[in-house]
Amino acid sequence: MAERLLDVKGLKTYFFTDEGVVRAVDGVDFYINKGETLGIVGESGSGKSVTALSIMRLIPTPPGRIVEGTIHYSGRNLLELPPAQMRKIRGKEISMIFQEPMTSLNPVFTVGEQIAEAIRLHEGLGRRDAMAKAVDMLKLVHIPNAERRVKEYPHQLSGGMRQRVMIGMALSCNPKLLIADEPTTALDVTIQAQILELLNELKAKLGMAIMLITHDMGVIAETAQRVVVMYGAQVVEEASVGEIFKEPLHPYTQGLLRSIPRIDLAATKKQKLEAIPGTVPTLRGDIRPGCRFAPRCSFAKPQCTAADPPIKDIRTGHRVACILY
Amino acid sequence: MPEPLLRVRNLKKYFPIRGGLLSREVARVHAVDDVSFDLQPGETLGLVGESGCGKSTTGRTILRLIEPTSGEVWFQDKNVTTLDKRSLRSLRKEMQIIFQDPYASLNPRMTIGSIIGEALVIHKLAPTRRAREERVAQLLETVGLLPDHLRRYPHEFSGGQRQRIGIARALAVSPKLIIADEPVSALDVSIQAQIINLLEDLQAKFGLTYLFIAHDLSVVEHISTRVAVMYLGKIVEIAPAKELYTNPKHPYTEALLSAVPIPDPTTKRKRILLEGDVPSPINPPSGCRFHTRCALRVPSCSDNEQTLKEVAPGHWVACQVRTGVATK
Ligand SMILES: Nc1ncnc2c1ncn2[C@@H]1O[C@H](COP(=O)(O)OP(=O)(O)OP(=O)(O)O)[C@@H](O)[C@H]1O
Ligand SMILES: Nc1ncnc2c1ncn2[C@@H]1O[C@H](COP(=O)(O)OP(=O)(O)OP(=O)(O)O)[C@@H](O)[C@H]1O
Ligand code: SF4
Ligand code: SF4
Ligand SMILES: [Mg+2]
Ligand SMILES: [Mg+2]
Repeated sequence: MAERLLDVKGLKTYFFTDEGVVRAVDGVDFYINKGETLGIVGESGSGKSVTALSIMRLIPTPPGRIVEGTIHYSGRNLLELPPAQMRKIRGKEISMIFQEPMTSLNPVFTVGEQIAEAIRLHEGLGRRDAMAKAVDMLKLVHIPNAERRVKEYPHQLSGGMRQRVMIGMALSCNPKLLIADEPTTALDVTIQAQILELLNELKAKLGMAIMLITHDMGVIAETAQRVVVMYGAQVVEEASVGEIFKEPLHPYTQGLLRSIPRIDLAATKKQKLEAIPGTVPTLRGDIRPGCRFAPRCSFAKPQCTAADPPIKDIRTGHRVACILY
Repeated sequence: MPEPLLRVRNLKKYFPIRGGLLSREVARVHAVDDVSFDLQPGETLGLVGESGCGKSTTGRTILRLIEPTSGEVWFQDKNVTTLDKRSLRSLRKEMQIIFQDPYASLNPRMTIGSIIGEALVIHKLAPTRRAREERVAQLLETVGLLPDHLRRYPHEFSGGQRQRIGIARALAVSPKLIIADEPVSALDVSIQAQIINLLEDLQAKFGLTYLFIAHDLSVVEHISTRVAVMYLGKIVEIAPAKELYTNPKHPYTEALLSAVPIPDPTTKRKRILLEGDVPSPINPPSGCRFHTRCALRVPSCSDNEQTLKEVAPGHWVACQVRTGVATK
């Protein structure tokens, strides 16, 4: 049996804004095993980033607040830790890389200074040792001429190199869990391929788990072992990668997979894409009970909107929240 | 073969970089560097390539939203590059553009009705207010929105709906050619498919010709009749879509295609990982611009400029090794 590293239960994170309450994450359950890559997919605004920030306890308060739930990491509930202890976990045990590397690197410090700072904070190394380790980290993420690059500023690096620096910084204290929030979305495909290769290589080398947030089912297929599908601030399906592609159960997951053009089928006859009708739900204000996918679902029945469909285990490791099952 | 609708010949756009006290030109960005292609009526030509390779600049110089440095663009029998302002404006009835960002491209203070109706006024296509409103309502229906949306403002619509508004605006003047610059890149996957289907339906209904610019190779494969691949301001390969995707010849096209993640965990492919990043378009590499990253390069690749050569009917490649001109 795989050992659980992180266990999220009943997580609710709301933003209390002037225009009303935004239920950004509304009752989310999932777990991550040691050493595995868990993919999280979902439409824009479905609560993926807020879930990640909740785990890191980096939700801007106010307006945001984790209103319910538990997040157990190695047996401890992160939501009950005093801030000083949480700071020790953040960066050392769990670290995070963001979609836009430029916004998370400080433009006035060299990349070496920034990595060394993170190392000094957590490992108590001296200035010189930390700088030497920073060079090692740049080498680990395959940045050429690491000794020279370490003295450069973020704007002197390309987008792909900045994302490598972010990964290097995130890994500098050997975390057991890396949360990667759309780490390649802003990058070109050839650079994306380099970064995903790097993440896979480092995961094997360092034995860490990765929580990979993406909207790209191709990235999921090539990097994750398990998948959580989010829709409207909730988890609607969870399965192994093999099953989610072979036998998706939730109508949203099914629709999503049918709506993506397939480059690998270029040789076969072209078919029209099957689009999911309608628009992505808003999470602001009052949310009526019932399945949030109902307005777009071709299987919807009256009972779908009567109450939230509970998430059910269909078989080992495959769960779905839909009244059809 | 019918007469092409659009002919682009040796199109170049160099952006000056100014510096120093006198703001003199100190360097040039070779954004588009000798691009030529034809567009046949009713076809969709996909234009792909990595960020900064010159796709948008190509689209915009064709419409003269950006003035070209040199080269010619012919729309049927009109030389677009030499038209005066007035003739250019009337040509905009024939050629329209849809932008990537449905948020930024709609004026937030205008109603949907006036956004879509604006071009009708400019080109005097609707004599009365009533005629204009009728036409706008009809256009809204064509793109899958409700006619009574015309009194609403852009912020009341979702991303996909705003892109529909952008499409209705382009359609208002009944153009023959639409340049779509990343029209679905900002949209969710499930909404992307709606817009792609809409564009396909409109093409069938109105016989539209598309220049479809995108960096998503799967989307381009799906919608295009032919595809051109750009690298650092140049087209390195152009071919019918199926041919290009199943039988790529340029080493860059091969690498690009192999980098696309496939949404099927049971397929295993060989990935060609490219070394390093795209070089700067300010001082692009000499000879073949891809030689700094190419696994097939031979010594003469850094000297010889590459031009497109036909390797199969309609399949053109700019690589001396792959076209058999130079060997190891
Ligand atoms: N600081 C905030 N204040 C108010 N609302 C917020 C804030 N941060 C996020 N939200 C809202 O929470 C919801 C979930 O956002 P989140 O960023 O988690 O989505 P996501 O799934 O990561 O989407 P994307 O794919 O676009 O990154 C959205 O409706 C968003 O507008
Ligand atoms: N107004 C401008 N002044 C100077 N340089 C410019 C200007 N517009 C574009 N460029 C440069 O020209 C090159 C081509 O840009 P372009 O926007 O055409 O690329 P693209 O292929 O559309 O990229 P993307 O996929 O990121 O949209 C880039 O190096 C860009 O920085
Ligand atoms: S619960 Fe009903 S509306 Fe929701 S996905 Fe299932 S069938 Fe569709
Ligand atoms: S011309 Fe030479 S460098 Fe350019 S793509 Fe062909 S083999 Fe590679
Ligand atoms: Mg996000
Ligand atoms: Mg562009």
